Amino acid sequence: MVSEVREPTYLVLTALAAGPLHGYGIIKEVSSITQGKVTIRTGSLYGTIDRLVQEGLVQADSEEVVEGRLRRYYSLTVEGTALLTSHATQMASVSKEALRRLRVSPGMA
Amino acid sequence: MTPLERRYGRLLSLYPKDYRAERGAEIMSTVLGTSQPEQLWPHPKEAVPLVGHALRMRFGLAESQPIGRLLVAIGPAQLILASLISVMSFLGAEWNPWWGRHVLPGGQVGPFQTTGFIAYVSWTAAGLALLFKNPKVTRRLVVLSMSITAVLVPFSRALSLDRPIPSLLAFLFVLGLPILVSSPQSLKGSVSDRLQKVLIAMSLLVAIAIALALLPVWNGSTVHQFSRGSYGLSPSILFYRTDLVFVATWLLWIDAAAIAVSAMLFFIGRRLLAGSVALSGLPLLVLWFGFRYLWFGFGYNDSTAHLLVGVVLVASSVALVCLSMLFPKEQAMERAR
Repeated sequence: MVSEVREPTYLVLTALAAGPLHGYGIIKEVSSITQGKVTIRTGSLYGTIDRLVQEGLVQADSEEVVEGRLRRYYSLTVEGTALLTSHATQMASVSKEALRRLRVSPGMA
Repeated sequence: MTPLERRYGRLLSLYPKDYRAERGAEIMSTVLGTSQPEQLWPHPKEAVPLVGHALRMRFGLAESQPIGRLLVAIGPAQLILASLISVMSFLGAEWNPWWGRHVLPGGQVGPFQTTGFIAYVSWTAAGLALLFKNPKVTRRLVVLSMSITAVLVPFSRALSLDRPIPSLLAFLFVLGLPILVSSPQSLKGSVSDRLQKVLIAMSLLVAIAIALALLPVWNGSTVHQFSRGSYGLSPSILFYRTDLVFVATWLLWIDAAAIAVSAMLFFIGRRLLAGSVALSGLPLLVLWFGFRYLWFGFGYNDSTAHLLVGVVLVASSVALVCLSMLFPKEQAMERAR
């Protein structure tokens, strides 16, 4: 059975999989991952980040000031990486099976 | 400071002071990153979620806060309960062709007994949207249903039409509150969550229990003398006459059972689930007290024992919710991700 991870959680964890990102970086990355279909708004993003930090899936990594603006970077924790790996593997397995069945079903050739 | 920055700054001032001190500069940086170079005013698509998050943080309703987690956990279950009650009310009390010979005198609305059908249809649609996993539509329909429910009494009065009993409307309104105040994000994928499946199952059981409790009234076998006479015996007495207040004592026992389950869950360490179950039961008590007081007035005192039980149950529910917030540590990360 596929583990239960809500869509905003999955997208933010996926965005952070390649390395630490700041808030706006996560927003851009999520938009890029979903080919522009999903845009996370700032208020929603910080609601999700607060929750993920509290659950121990994401952590504040570092800070920098660029053009007078504070950027705080976030990264996956060990638990966050494990959850994302497990969920992504299960999703890939189900998707592969769905495609296999579609190819062999009658009338689809 | 640019005009846009100043305007976003005003919105950020809605956050609680501590949170703003810790995260304000970072959030400002992010929200300015999403804006266009010549932009002067916050875009509504950014401003609305920002204000929503700020207010949820201020009132302790964000998902990172204990009460917010409880609301997210019980929201879908309570919406399902509201939908089931709406379907029951629509079929049992509103649809005249079904119960035609018992039509009440007064201002009916087409084939319906009261204006209540408008709210019932809307709540049912919201429940269906949730089951079909459409979070955006679900939330919009909940807002619509709550708005209709809130204005139904004055609307009916203005047009001289019959209305359903206000305590039922108040109950439906309360059931919608958790989804209204929770983050829109929280509904995404929430139906598949294990905890919520448990709560939805509980709501179904409660709805079935209420239906069973009402069966004697539907059959007309335990109708109180107050409702005999010109109105006759019909399902419509459910929402007009006094009988429900007597059978509604069932609600107390159902809630007592929920609190017993909640207490057990608390002591075995499933604290968030315990708090959610206790909080889920509170609307039942609202309904019970609503039937008592909105119908009879505060001077009504037919059964001190029941009143005492009701007060004890409210106190127990609140205590369990508070305990689960004060001691939120759980054995497993049970809650929705």
